Amino acid sequence: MDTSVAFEGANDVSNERLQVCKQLCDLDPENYEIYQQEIKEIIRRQVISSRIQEVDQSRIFIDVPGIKEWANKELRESYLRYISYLKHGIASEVSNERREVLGTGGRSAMSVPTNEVIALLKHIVLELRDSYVSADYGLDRFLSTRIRHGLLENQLRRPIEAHFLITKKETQKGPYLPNQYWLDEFDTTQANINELSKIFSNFSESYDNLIAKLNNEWIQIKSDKKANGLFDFTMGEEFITFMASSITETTSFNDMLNLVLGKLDTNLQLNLVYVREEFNSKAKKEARELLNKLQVNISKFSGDINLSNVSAAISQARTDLQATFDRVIEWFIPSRSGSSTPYTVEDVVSVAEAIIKDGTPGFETRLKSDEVSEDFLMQGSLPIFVDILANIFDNVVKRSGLDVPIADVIQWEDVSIADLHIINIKVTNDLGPGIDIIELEKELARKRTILDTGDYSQHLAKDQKSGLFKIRRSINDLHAIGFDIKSKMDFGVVGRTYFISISIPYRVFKLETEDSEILMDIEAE
Amino acid sequence: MRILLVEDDEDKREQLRIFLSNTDRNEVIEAKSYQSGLKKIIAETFDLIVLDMTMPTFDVTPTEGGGRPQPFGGKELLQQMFRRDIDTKTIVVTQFDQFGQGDETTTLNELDKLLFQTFPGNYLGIVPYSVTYSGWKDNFNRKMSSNNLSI
Repeated sequence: MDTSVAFEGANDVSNERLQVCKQLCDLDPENYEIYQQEIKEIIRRQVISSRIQEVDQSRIFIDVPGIKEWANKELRESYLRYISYLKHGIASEVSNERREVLGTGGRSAMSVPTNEVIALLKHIVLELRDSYVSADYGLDRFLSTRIRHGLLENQLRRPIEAHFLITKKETQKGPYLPNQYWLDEFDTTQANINELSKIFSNFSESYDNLIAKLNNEWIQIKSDKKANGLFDFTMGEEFITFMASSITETTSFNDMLNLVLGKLDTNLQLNLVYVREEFNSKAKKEARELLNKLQVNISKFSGDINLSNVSAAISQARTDLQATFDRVIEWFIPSRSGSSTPYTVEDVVSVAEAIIKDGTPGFETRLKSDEVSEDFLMQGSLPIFVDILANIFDNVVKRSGLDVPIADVIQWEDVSIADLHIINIKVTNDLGPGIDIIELEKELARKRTILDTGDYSQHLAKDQKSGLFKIRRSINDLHAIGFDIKSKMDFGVVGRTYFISISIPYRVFKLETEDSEILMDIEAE
Repeated sequence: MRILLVEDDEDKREQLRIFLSNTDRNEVIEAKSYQSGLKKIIAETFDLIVLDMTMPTFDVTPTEGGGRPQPFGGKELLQQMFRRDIDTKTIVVTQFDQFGQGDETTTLNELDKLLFQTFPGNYLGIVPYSVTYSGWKDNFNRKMSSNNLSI
């Protein structure tokens, strides 16, 4: 069917298959159950695919309401003082001088007086800028949670791992494991095997170094410490000049926020164009050249060994890698606006599972639902909910010490207060024999102490391991306005099982459906 | 010469495009999958078609996974041309020396023979492509000149 020119894409083919199955339900009632099963599976795949697309389009995100709430507490007073200066004409001379300087034209000729009034405005604007890129509300939080935390590595390793061309390190600082898959296939001398093993190890190291460079140097906010960061929010004097000329005595605090945040949004969009160009023209090329180099190095043995299969694997990996890069490049777009369509916890688990399976095909979840209302749907915050579970599942894959990582997920609801539901999710996983339980408990206790203080923001961007700080931060975003009950998180080890549980309060809206059944639409705010 | 190039690998497509457009006389039109190649073959007229053998069903994009991989996509395209009486001269350029899996596995030579037998009117041969050497260009030119063609 898919070779017919009638179809424009795989989704078209899938829709056609769905229609055929629906027809077959009527035409062949004996096999009704088989067709129903197929229909269910096609719909499930379509839902997951559309949700993943939604999440992919939300990777670059700024929590603007969070920034505004913070600014309202921290900057309003300073801003009112600035406006007061303007009203008393203290800044008028500054204004005149500025106009005069601007009138001469030329960007380099601009200069802003460094008096107290301008210093105050500069302080407000730069604080807002810092918040916009911060690991708390801003860009760095979402770059860290939605791209750097394992995801980029999983995505970019996947096309190489699928052809068994890359291995992992024995330990964090140890050498790479030998590429037994290919070495076992070569019928040659031990000396050749040793040479080939070195070639594969060097390739693994170079490829991982490239990913590390993208994660640790490129996908960073540019600063003195991160000089190669592609997200450059360095604000020159002209930015302050522009703000000073745009803000008048009548500009409200909210208007000022919108003005500054609008300029930062524009800057973000320019940065994203640059990031996409760099990934397309440099990172993709570098990755491709590493595979080419591997092929050249291996081809030196073509006189002694049949390299047909490994050459085919490298060629296919190169084609797949380019498609993967194109997909990653598409993450770097401004987040799509508007809230998501209603979804269930099962949807979130499926999407997070699919994201992790993309990098680790052997990963599995087993979901069990206790006391969950039928037609229980949530609205909004899907990407944040997916962040939480994808982080948790990523930990299961990376830190359980198991070859076949499995996460058991239990969800249940508490309905103790009218119009408020608590969604509880507990994820457990076994810990492999290589995990030192005492060390793990110590590490978890240390993190719990930091989390209990509530002051963990400085750990957010650096949290490359368990992601517990990021998970806690994301959970904080899921709260029900108008209720005192806060979201909760717990984690620990029981025997040789790791658990993490979260409780999220949701405000309930009841909607009458057409056939008068009650549908609960729940909103995270 | 108007040439259709059907190739899903970005790097190989670029190398072939540069090679095929070595004179101003040539216009190279690109397709990245079985479907986009077939649609162009049906809708337009070409003097030469350069096919990959293994390709996705649809063009791969960030939102389109490409559908089922077609291990013999090039052969299928030749079949579709045969059905439609399209006899444009065609060369296959591939990075692989065996195709398919299990019972379907075919070597490059077996496939070459089969394609000559099945499509004697327009199939010019297979050129093995490699990123490690540029000999494939001479091979391509030889295939062309032995059929009194040149690019």
